[in-house]
Amino acid sequence: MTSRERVLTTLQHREPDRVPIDFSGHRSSGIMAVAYARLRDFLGLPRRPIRVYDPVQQLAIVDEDVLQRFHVDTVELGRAFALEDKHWREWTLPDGTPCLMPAWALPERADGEWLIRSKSDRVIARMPDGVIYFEQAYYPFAENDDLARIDEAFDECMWTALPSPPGPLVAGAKGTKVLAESARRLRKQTNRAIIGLFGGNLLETGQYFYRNDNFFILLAGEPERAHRFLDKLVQIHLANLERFLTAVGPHIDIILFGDDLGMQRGPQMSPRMYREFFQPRETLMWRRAKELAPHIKIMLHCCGGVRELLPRLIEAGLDAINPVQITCAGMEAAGLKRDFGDRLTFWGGGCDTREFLIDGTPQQVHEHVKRMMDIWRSGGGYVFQQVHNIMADVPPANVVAMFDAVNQS
Amino acid sequence: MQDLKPLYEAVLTGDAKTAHSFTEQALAAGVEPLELVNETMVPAMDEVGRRFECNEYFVPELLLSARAMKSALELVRPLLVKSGAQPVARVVIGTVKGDLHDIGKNLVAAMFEGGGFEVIDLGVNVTPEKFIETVKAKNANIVAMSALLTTTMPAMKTTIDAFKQAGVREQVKILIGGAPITQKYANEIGADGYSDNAPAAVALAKKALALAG
Repeated sequence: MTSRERVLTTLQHREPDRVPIDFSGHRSSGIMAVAYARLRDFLGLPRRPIRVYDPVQQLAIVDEDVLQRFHVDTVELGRAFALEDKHWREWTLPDGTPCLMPAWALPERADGEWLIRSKSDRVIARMPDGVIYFEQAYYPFAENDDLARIDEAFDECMWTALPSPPGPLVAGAKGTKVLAESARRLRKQTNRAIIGLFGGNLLETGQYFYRNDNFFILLAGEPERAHRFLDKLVQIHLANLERFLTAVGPHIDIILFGDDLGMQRGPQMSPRMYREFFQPRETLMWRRAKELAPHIKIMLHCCGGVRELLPRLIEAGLDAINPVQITCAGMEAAGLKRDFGDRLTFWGGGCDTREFLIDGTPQQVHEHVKRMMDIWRSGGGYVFQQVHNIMADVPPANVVAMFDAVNQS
Repeated sequence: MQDLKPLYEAVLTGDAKTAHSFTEQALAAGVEPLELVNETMVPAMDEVGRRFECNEYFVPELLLSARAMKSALELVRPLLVKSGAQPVARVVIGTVKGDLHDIGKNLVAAMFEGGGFEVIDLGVNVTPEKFIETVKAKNANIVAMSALLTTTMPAMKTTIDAFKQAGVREQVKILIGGAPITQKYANEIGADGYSDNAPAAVALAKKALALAG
């Protein structure tokens, strides 16, 4: 089987020849640049310039030699872009390792911290010394939400103004051609399954613009206002979806939407609130995606404990969910597999990142992952990734033990 | 004798406007500030907490009620200070050094206020020294620390060790929370308690203090 066939087989709920592996196929299955540099050293691989393609989370592009070492089956569409030196600028990671950042997101040094500014020169992200990734510094709608100026809000919010590649490289009509052409080229060059990162975040965009607590208060206390915002937002997402899938739809396998709906002890909101505000809008977007690209699989990045919302997400048209945070309430692997495994592909939950990956011995990691594969693999509907990105302090020996365990299982 | 149920209902349903206007009117009518807090606001927030624990209320409802409670409390607090009334206890709360996340911490702070505690919120990226200095200056009995990242959790141990070094560890109960935190971790680093949700943090604090008394 090719990698792509392996991933498509499992998405069709048939068990492939081995468990498919995602490593850095999207922005929650990757590795922080600090940890990646150490991993390369540990593997005895030559030092290469580390390209930090996700400026906020500081994730590194994983090179082909590492992808091959771990038999990775996925690739992100973004890897088809920003291939030239001119797209990158030199920077230094918090631990002193030199790296390259996207040219449109180069941090500037201030007193005791690093800053990133928007095009209007406002500070939208900061990383004080001692902190290892960027935090949002400005919430465009926290004081006043002028929906007529919502486009500006996208430019002034860290999460939406500092994209990973392709980002600004595909702006405008000319950019759309580049988008399509690059996707077509990537499809020809790789036999890995291609994931196109779209976003279409609903709850999260509300949280990014208003701030988490303000947006929750809006949902609970001023529902009409929340609906007006979400209506405006979904129109923007639908317009972007048309453009995106018209350009890349034929060349990708999975489109990734994003919206963290959960937290440690369960969903952030009641199923009733999800049904009122979000399910109809998810349905609208996912239905349109399938109309534009009938072969495509819909995946949602959704952190936290969301068991109670899974039936609604499936109803709305979801094919796969990541990162499957198995330490959250209701998210135990066996129960999820038993109750939803025939209808939903679980993309994640392969290795606990809260304790095992950080504090375990390589042997403990190995045994833990083997146990998890025994639970997840049967009947397909499963892709391996660790629960979220590999953080800076994860020992490289554990990363190796983790992937080797999947490959040997 | 004024019926205070409308205030209880206003806090429970998250109606900040009614909570504020009712409190204003009740105080003008001579109702004792402490009665408003202890007989009405605190029980209302207890009920909010109970509903949260059994998944009737979620974070949005919790925040709405906390906002309603705060809007009533802001009228009452200056009067309590003037009359010299003592809070249940004093809590110094903050997110540890290296960590800028505060939503969960803010929720816990709001629940503590609703529970009758005086809260000194140090914000985020708080050094051990700042925790210690504030505990001493405010004569606090509880320290509540938050961390969202596995990479910043170790600052909790550093802070507890610093309290020991400074000779003030016995003066306070130290409670910890945050997504990567577990009871096992709390035991390992010598914290006095751990909770995975904001309402339970208040119950935990009350329990921890009773044991000391």
